[in-house]
Amino acid sequence: MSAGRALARSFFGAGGLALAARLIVGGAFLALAVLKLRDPVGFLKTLREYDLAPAFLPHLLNYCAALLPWVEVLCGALLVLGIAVRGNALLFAALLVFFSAALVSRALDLQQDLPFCAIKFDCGCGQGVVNVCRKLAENAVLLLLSLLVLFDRAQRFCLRPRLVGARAATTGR
Amino acid sequence: MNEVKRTLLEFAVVAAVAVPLALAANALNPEGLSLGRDYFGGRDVSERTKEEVRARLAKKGIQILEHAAVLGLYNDPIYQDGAYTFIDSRSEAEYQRGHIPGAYLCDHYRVERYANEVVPVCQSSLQVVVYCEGGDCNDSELTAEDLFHFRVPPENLFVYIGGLEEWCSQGMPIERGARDSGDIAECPK
Repeated sequence: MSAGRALARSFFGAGGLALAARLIVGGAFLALAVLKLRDPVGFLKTLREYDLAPAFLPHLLNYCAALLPWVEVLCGALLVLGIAVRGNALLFAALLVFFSAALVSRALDLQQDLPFCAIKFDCGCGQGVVNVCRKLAENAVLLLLSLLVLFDRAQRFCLRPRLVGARAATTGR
Repeated sequence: MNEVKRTLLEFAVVAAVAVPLALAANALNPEGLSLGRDYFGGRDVSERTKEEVRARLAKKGIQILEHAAVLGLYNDPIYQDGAYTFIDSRSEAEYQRGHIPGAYLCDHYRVERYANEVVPVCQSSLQVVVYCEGGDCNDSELTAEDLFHFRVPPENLFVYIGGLEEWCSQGMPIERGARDSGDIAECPK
């Protein structure tokens, strides 16, 4: 038992926690993006429900719906592989903050007489109809993990952790 | 260079590489979106009450049809002879799961795929009834407008605003799979 604990402590201490965080965040974005890519029109229609695109930019929604899942696929794959780790972690953290704000705004639009945590709708996240509080909790966990990756100093088990200013690529030491 | 600057620069590099790649992937994807197309006809997302839809369609001479009138057309013997046409404006996957028996598929978002088959049929029909899922879906309205632009006479064009939801709630059957597959079934509960 204590040997298992010691092993776990040694693993997490040696960058295992950051590796796990990277795999979870990158993997989650990758998986959800693939689900969105199966039905681009459905994703476009769901995005429209958020009513975020200003009237003077009628094609902005098309660009968001077409590009966002592919950006998530690419950046998710880079994060899993450990390439440009901080840049990707920052991108996902920013996306998660934006998604969560949009989610709250849409939920408040739909609220009527319901308690906030009873609101369910298709958030366009690729998971169909979801409970808003559960989704916000998921986003919060992913955001914490993204920040953990962002502020991880060791950056171990990465193919090329830094694209900018890197003198040498770090491999799985 | 300090760590914050380096991270921001890396973020910018990642975005600068990812966006063109995403544009290329969308362009190469047969299911990709047409970036320059106005899919929603410039209408606001909130403007879809029955009255608003009715007013918008009336400007083009297109009318709304209630369930009783739709049922009348469906049960009319000349429906089987092609005098009336039902148009399902939902996605192909939804259509395959079940549509009004004999309805043609014409998804507004992929209208270019279906127009060649559907437009001549609509042009020769006495009445064309377009429907979608019902509730607050507005794909039927958008498809009716597509057909209007393809020169289907507006006086023959009708939108069944209750859609498949109302059709099913009245205990009417659906056809699964392709048009005229003969696989008639009850609506799933």
